[in-house]
Amino acid sequence: MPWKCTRSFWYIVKMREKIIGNFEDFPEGKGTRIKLGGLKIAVFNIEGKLYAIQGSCPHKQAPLHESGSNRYNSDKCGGAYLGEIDIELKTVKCPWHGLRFNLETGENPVLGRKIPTYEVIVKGSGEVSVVV
Amino acid sequence: MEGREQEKNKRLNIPDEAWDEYIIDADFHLNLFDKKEYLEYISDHRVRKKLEVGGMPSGVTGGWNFAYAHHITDSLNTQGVALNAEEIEGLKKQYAIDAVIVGPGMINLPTARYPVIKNAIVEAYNNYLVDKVIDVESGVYGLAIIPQWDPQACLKEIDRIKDIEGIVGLQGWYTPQTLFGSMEYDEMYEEMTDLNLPLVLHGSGFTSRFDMLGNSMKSVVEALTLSWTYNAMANVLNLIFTGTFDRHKDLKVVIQEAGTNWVPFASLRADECYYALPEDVMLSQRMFEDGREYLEHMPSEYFHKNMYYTTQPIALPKNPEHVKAMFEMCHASETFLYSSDWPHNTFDPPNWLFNNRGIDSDMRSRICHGNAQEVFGI
Repeated sequence: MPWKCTRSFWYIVKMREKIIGNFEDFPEGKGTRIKLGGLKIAVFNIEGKLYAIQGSCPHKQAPLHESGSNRYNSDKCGGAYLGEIDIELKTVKCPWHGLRFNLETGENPVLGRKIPTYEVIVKGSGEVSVVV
Repeated sequence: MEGREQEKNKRLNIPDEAWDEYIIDADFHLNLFDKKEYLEYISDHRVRKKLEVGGMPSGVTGGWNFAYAHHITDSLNTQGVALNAEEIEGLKKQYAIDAVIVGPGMINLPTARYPVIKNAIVEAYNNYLVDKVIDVESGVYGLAIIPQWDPQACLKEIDRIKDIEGIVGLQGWYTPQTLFGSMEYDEMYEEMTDLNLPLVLHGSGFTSRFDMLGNSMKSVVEALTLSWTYNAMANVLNLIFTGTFDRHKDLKVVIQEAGTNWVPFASLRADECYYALPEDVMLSQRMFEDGREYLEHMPSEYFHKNMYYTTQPIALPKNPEHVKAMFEMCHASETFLYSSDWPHNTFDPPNWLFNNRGIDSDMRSRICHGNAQEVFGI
């Protein structure tokens, strides 16, 4: 019987580590945008641990890595900025409209579904990879 | 069929297929405008005296005049008046209607003054309804009025009528005053869901007071186009965003005479605004008390999980493909109830359900009777 290649098989086979930088490239308390081909990932450093999550909000494709960042000219916006990193809950809020995502699971209580998260591997040398 | 043919109202050109479909009319009005019809049901002599000399308390949302062709003396009853089961039965045969859900009209009652008199009218109307109108074997069902201006009186009235066969829902009116997401109705909603009775909300007057927008309108056509629709929308959104359907999961609400095409707009916009401000709902009083952070479903889902809409005045796009798409967006097969609004000037006979290529037979049967049987338990 000929061997049949399934989609899930190829998914497993194709998942691999991709180097995205060194640990110091990801400042604590902030999000960093990574592009791997067409894939955009937001990497957050929360108290020394790195989390990787889909780079854009599924609502209006806002850049999630900007959650918790200072926006250009933000002092002139009267504080009208929704993004936030919650260290205790391990969540980030979308900087445009405020949807909140769990960094470990990708869950959002409003959407009722998860967005992708990615395993992050930090080697002893400080080299950081994500499994995609 | 032959016997019924002779009873057809030829003026309306109702298609033959309509006579083969089981049709429930979910908004058929009984208008007790002549005081002699209800005075004998008013038990308190002080209230009866006041009604004898003063008539029904006038609402503060009226003042619009619909007359152009000729003088209209008795409200907008351009199709006639039916005041009891026998008269309704005669009409059903003319209009291809098999069952009716009779509502009170009385659209100015919620905004009228004298709550004592209004409570007495509610009790009298409900007694009249049971005595003269409801006839389950003939397919004549009724909606009992709830005195929505007095939540405790609502509970008493529900307790009084709850075991009467043929009362299939509780009638209120959507107004710009107290919106139905208010927690003062929670006890009533518990009782209603226990009894499996839907809340049926009709438009009330045409806004001119308590409502800045309505007060600014200068013509009846503006008011007719918009005022009931936005008051219905305000009440539906209030029910959803205050977590009413999360606390009362089985509560069913029927919106009468607000049109239908606003449903996709309002539901999509509600979702979009909820995406932008999801944490706002936790600060509504009910959600705060219940310790809920977010709604259990997206707002748009409540529009078809908990809501129903009567179809009159139906406003269909010309292209049947657009009708089909519009009905899909409205979840019409789960939510629309055919209604005529008999006997008012905006009366819709069931013709449109049978002569539009955008409406297939399954959709038609859901709108004609399936959804009504489901929500009214008939």
